[in-house]
Amino acid sequence: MIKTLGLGRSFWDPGLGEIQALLPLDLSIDKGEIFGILGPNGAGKTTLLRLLATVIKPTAGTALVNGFDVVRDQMPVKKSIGFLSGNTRLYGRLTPRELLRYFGQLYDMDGSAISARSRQIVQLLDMGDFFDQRIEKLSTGQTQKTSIARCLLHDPPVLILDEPTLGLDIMTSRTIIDFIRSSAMAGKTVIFSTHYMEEAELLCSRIGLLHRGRLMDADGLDGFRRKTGLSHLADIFMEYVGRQAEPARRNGKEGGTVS
Amino acid sequence: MSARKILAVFRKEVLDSLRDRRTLFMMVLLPILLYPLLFIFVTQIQSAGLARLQQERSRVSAKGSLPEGLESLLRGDTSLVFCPSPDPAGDLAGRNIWAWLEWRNRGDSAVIYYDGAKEKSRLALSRLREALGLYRSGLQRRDLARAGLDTLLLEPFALRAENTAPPSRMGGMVLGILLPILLIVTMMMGAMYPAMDLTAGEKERGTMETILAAPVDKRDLFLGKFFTVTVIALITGALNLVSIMMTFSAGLVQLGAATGRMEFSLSPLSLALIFLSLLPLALFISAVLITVSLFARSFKDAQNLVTPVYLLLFLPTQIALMPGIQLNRLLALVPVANVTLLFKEILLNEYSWEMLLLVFFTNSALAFLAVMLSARLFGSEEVLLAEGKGWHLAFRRSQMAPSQTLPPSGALVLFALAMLLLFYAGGFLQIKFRYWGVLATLWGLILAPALLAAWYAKLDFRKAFHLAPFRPMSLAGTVVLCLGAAGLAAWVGALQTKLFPESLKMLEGLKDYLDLQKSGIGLLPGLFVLALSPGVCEEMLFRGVLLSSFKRKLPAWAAVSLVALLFAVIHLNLFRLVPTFLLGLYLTFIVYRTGSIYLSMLAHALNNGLALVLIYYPSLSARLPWLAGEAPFPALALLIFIALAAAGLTLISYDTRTRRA
Repeated sequence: MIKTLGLGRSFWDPGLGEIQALLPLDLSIDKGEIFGILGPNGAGKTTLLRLLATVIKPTAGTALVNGFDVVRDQMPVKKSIGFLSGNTRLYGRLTPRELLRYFGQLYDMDGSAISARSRQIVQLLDMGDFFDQRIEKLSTGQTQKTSIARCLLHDPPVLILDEPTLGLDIMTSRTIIDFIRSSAMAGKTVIFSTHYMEEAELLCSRIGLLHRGRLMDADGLDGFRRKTGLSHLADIFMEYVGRQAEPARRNGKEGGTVS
Repeated sequence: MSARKILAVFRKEVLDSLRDRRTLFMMVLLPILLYPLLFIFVTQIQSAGLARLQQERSRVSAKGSLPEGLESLLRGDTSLVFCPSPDPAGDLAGRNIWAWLEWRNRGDSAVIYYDGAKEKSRLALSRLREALGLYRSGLQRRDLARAGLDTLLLEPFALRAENTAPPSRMGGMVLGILLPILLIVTMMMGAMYPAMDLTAGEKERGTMETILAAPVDKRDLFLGKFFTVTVIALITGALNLVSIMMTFSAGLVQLGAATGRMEFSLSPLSLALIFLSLLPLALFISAVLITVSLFARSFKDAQNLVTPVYLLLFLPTQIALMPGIQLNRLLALVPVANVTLLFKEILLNEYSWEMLLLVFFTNSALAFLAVMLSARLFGSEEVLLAEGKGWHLAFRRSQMAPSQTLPPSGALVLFALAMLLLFYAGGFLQIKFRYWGVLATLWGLILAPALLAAWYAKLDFRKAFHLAPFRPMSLAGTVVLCLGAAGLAAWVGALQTKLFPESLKMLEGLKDYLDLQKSGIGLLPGLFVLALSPGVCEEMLFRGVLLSSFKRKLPAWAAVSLVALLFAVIHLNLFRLVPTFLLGLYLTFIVYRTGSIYLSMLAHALNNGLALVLIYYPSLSARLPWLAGEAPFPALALLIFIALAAAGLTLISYDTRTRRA
């Protein structure tokens, strides 16, 4: 469902020069999977997900999302995904109804399809009370539901969620976690990033460990436990970070030879 | 691009903007409230103040003893209060009196002291002057009577001035200064908030990424936003216009009492013309404001960036306030100032169509450039996501992907740029340096930008400039076609002179320029400047970069006519538009068919050279007077030219049929 082919991205900074935000990586995620990307701030999680969502363009390789190329077939990719991140906020001066109408038009849905699907979603997410209030007046939970509604409007087969629970209270996080679970059960592919270990342990069928732009490994929780002999994801992550750092340090001492 | 999505974006952005209080205030509330307040209250307060001032008597004084007649005259004047004092200068400084009179040399001269910074003092001055005038004419009358002469000597004739301007022109004069400035300023104010809100505001509120993940082309998104800003600017302008007109016609009653009768009305034609000239300006302003706002990360950031630009755009309106200034060819090229002056002339009904078109095209070209720049920035993810400080990446050459030809949008930008360069620098150079100016224009302002653009965009020079060999038969065809076409062009010119005799006058000036003998430059240098150089430089731009760009995206007939049209437009001469278009048409055809720019260079140089040679040898043109339009065109010559042109076209077509197949 998602397949990256040497996908990488560098940025050019006037002061620092070329910065590798994401080193070329190959990754394959199957239909119905919940794939978690785990890593600290600045690991390249957001870059990876933005690349998959076609918000930015890769500087190396490409990726296939729902069979479409993120470089060449941007529009079909955009139509195949629902993208949610801390940076995908909503137009405060519109109501949820107006917002869904606007996005429906952008997804090439006609008027009757938009209202039918909106009715469905309002029921599903229990949005009836605030469907005609301006978004700027809504509570965090109501806003988050509206964001989910925007993601689901065009019924995409792939969901790309960048730290969807960041800064949310327990109740609202729960809405998101339920949403991820039910989406996977409905056969959607979910890729989401987080730096909450327990969230990843709870939800994911597989987890990718990302550190300093490098995908260190990707496996299920059981697989990682077997490989490292550790049980907690946090410990497993630190173990991998240590393995990464060692050759690098030796590298510095011994002048460039890596065994 | 999808019209449906542009419309969806436009509708959403308009709705969003109308719910923004700042935009709404600038657009609707301010114009409705401002002018009644400004005009009615200010004029009321002013006229009330003036009336009170007029009623109040001026306290004046004098130093030294006045002649008796004068003192009693001052005391008897109902507009003055005469209060003798020992220190009138101190009294004036202390504002106890408003003016005082010094009587010198026993009546040889008089000086009035007053404070020019105070309105009351200036009024006292004029009242004192009037009283002294009365006193003086009394003396003269007395002396004349003593000498036994007629008092008519004092005033041999009566004089008065009468204003012949109809009331509507008086209204036009007053409004002509105010209205354009107000309209342009309010349009900018109207555009400012949505321009910032739809770009920097969207970034600040974190909705940019939401919309970028949705299936909408960035160009559609940009156009939807751009039209929103433009429409809001235009609505703001229109509402201000209506509000000014309504308040003014109510306020005029009071102003009319002081300055004579005034009326203010706009004919539908003037209104349409004002709208027509406002349209490109609104597009230009919107694009400029969006461009600037795009660099900002937040609304506040945008305000800091926009304010200096706003002042820069406002400055040219002040030109219209300078006394005696009128729209001329040069000022027509200065954005904002040109519309300000044009408005004044439309309101006074003194505009010329030439200026109207010049202003319209200048602003359209500028608007186009600004829009392309803005769209380019909008396409850059660095600018949109405000990351990595690298907005300049959008224009770095190292980021350009090599390509064979320019994209059509880039080609149009290049054309607009060349045209503006020609407007601003070319005209100046040619007036100041004559033939050297022509050379500099051709090589520096036409060829150099084309080469630079090709280098910058990493084009394949051979493909982009059609640098390909040609076959002898095509060469023969080109020469034959060129001879026939030059004759036909002369016939079209003659026909045009017959239809529009006034065009002859325009061409007279040109002929002086082309007379290489009279101007003393000599035949060969003249041919280099006026035949070979245009042949090389103009061809490289038009039949080179522009044609190679357009022919990739457009059908053959459209690409060829577009290049010919642009070629005609850049010559900036209304009366040569048709002949130049025809010349452009066949030059473009030659390159389109043969793929070789050398042939069109030859044809262009030959075409210009033939005309120059004809003018250089008067004996030659005397034998063929019909070529210079001085005698009717013989039908036989016309037939020969048509045959030559047809033969040339056939030769080229035949020669290139195999090549293309």
